[in-house]
Amino acid sequence: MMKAAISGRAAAALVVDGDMWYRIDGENPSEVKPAGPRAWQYVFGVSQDVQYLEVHSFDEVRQTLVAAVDEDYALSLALICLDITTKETTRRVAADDLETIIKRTPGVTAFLWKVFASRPLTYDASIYDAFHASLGEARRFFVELNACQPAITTVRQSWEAIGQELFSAIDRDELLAYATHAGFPLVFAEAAHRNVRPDLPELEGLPEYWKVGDVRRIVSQWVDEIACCRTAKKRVLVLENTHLGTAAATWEERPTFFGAADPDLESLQSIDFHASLINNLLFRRRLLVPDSYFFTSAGIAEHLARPASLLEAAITAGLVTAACLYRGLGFDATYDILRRQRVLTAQCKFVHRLQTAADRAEVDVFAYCSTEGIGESYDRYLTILQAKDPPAGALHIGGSGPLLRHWLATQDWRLSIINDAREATLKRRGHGVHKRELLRYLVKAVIGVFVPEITGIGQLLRLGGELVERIRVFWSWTSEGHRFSRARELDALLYSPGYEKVQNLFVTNALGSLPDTEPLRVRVRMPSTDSLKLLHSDDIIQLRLGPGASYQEALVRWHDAPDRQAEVELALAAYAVEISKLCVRRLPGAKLKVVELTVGLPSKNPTDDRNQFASMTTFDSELGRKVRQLMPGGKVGPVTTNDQTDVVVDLPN
Amino acid sequence: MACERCSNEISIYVTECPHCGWPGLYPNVNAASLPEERQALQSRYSEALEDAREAGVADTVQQFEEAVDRSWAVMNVKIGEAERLASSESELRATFYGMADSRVPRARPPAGTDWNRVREVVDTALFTDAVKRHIRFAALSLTPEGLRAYGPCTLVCATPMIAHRASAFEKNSCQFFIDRGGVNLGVAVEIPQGVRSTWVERGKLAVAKLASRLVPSTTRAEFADILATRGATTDDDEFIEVHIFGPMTVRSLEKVRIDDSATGLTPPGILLDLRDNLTQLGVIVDQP
Repeated sequence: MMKAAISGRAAAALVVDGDMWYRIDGENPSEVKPAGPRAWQYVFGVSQDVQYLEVHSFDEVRQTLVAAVDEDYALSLALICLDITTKETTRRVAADDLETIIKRTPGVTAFLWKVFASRPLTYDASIYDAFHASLGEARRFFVELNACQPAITTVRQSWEAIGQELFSAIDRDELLAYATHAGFPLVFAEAAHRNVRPDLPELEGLPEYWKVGDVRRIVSQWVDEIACCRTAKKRVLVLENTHLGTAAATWEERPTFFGAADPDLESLQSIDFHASLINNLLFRRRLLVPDSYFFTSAGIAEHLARPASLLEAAITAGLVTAACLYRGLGFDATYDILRRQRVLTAQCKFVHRLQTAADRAEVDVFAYCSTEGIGESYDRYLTILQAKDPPAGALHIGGSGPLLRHWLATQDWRLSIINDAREATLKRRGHGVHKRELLRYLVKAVIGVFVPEITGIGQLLRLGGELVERIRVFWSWTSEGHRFSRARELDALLYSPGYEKVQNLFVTNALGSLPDTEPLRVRVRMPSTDSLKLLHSDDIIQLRLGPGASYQEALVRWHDAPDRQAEVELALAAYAVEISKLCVRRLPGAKLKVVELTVGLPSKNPTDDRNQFASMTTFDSELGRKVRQLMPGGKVGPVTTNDQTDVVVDLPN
Repeated sequence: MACERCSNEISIYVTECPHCGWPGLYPNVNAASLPEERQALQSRYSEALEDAREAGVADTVQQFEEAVDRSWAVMNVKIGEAERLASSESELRATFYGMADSRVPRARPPAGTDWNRVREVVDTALFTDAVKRHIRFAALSLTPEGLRAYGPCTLVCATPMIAHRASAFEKNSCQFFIDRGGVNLGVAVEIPQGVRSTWVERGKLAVAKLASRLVPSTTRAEFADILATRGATTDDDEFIEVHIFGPMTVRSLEKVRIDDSATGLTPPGILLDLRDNLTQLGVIVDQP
């Protein structure tokens, strides 16, 4: 009789036959290599899954080893499929591998069930993604695992409810480990799923240092707890639901990508965040903000520093949607993951408040937005920057001198840095260009070496010295290209605050590409944005959800029937009256002034190659003068301003 | 040994002072730092230098020591082990890997005389049993290539993450005991002084052990193979063993080299995920 120690995790076995030691590797189990006791710590390392067997032949060792290795692979692959942070391409390959292993080693599924029945899935698991990446038996496993989550939760909660006094002679974790590998949680979960009392399982293979009676009392108590406990009410994900993304099916659902929250913009331009937020909330249907912006935007942090902030009220009202990298997570869990991944390096102290605002909302304020295509989409905008001449539309706006001067000054960077970033992205198995690679190469171009500590454009600008203007312009272009590509991927309009003709190259190009059309202009009396800033958050939300909703409906009707323009004029005028009335009521003495609000025409041809500049609505106090300054050719452009000139761009599909 | 805070006498094998609770003690480093241990190493080192001078290889030995002073601790593991390490920061994976790995009895051979030989190997240690569970074994290397026979993934430890808690030992410690008649029931083996060092003094240990293998014609390129020799079988591997006290995560690593032999044997999804996770956390992935 030989002694064998086998680890699936280490993918190896050591066999002792008298004085002889042998080793079998999982990668090539047919080969039996000589070994010795000295190999032990290097073969098994810290593996905790070592099984000790008495065997008659090497074949027995091989069979057990091959099964153990496949179990270990299957567990890793199932976790890769479920992990919310896994790249989609990797998830799909892992799902295929899992299917192969399940088919070739029948015991693998039973092993997976033992492990996954022991605890409910953690917050960073996405069973939805695992389901959609997999086929066949692997998919069936994920479907059933999803269905069993409430029962598994019940079993786990019942385990935790067992009084500690019963464990005086037994280590609680060790007993749970025994139970898991004996399959108790699985049997219990099956019973809980059927809402029947579990049978008391046989206690076999107990370690000699446990008393059978003690273990039996604990397991009996566990069964009693399960029987008493109603199956936990936990929502089972509808796996076939394909409407979890943000891609809006209809025109009226299209949100606006809220560029004012982009941390890049804060370093590059002067933005009045509060004014941007108020005006956008009043006049736009819904704002879309990438989840990371909530944790990194200085504007948002400053805004949240005040009590009862407008942003929190807007989240609760469902007027602001977080575009999330991960499906089914809230602010707190997303923040946790981004911190662990070092995507976020600075702490955000408002995560809990954001989450509380989201929890109060009656609608889902989180929308999963895959970033799989963002690199390629971004690359398309960067390719425009690599052309010999600036985009034609941008040259139509005002004098082209400053733009051409910056175009020449940045020529080396536009060519070499973007090319290097593209190559580096490819090396990292990405597609197109990743923005972080572009920043790395810009840092290297400015400082001479890669500096991993520099993770934002603000840090680089502080170090850039005389190159600041060049850096500012180059990064304004690439950063704006990134916002354009994200808005395009999200099928959103793009709000771009604080317009500067040269820095906002893509907006300028959009303006210059517009056909000569006349927007709808409505003269109304309105309070200034400074007055609106003094209103309570709830007042702004009530205005938007009340009279503002009527205006939004009128816009939708106009889009469907262009001859209903008069309805929009009336609705906008009525809305302005309501805003003014409330402002005067809340702020006695607040002055009203006549402003010309501009409503852009809806896009008639969504497949037009040119970026179309039609915002559907805007807000303005000195619109006429600024528009004419901006576009002397008299072209249409809904430009918004109080203290800053803002534009909204409608991107073609 | 005296506690550096309360000055009471304490064992070198405790990880915190039992009297004042002063934390951060590393038993392996304590053992290598004892004055008599360092003195014995210094004697061996001086002797080796003297021999080198007589043999006309003093310069070569000095270059070798300088190279070893910049050496890494490397561990070779299977892909599965590397995958676990690389994904250790995921709550999902940590939770379910933990559930899968925990077996009863944990990594201990069954009772009974038949198993004593195996049991002795598992328990054989330079340290007390409680301490040994916290020790990770690595090899000293001048290149990111480790002892591939133990696994196709070479984990190169980030020196700043281990220097304070690592010590070096003359050779594979288990082999050390075998050479001295250990790993047999009832044979007690005493560890001679001067065969271990702190991380900082690993160069001295390497000189004491290997200076005699250097000749005037030895080139810098040959230093790596002298420091760690890969034999025909794992039993023939010869290297300086590194003992690292405490946990390791992916952030303890500087680089991971994945040998070509890994591809084709490991499910591609696991390899892809391993690369994704390492890259995400800034660990250099080196794949020839």
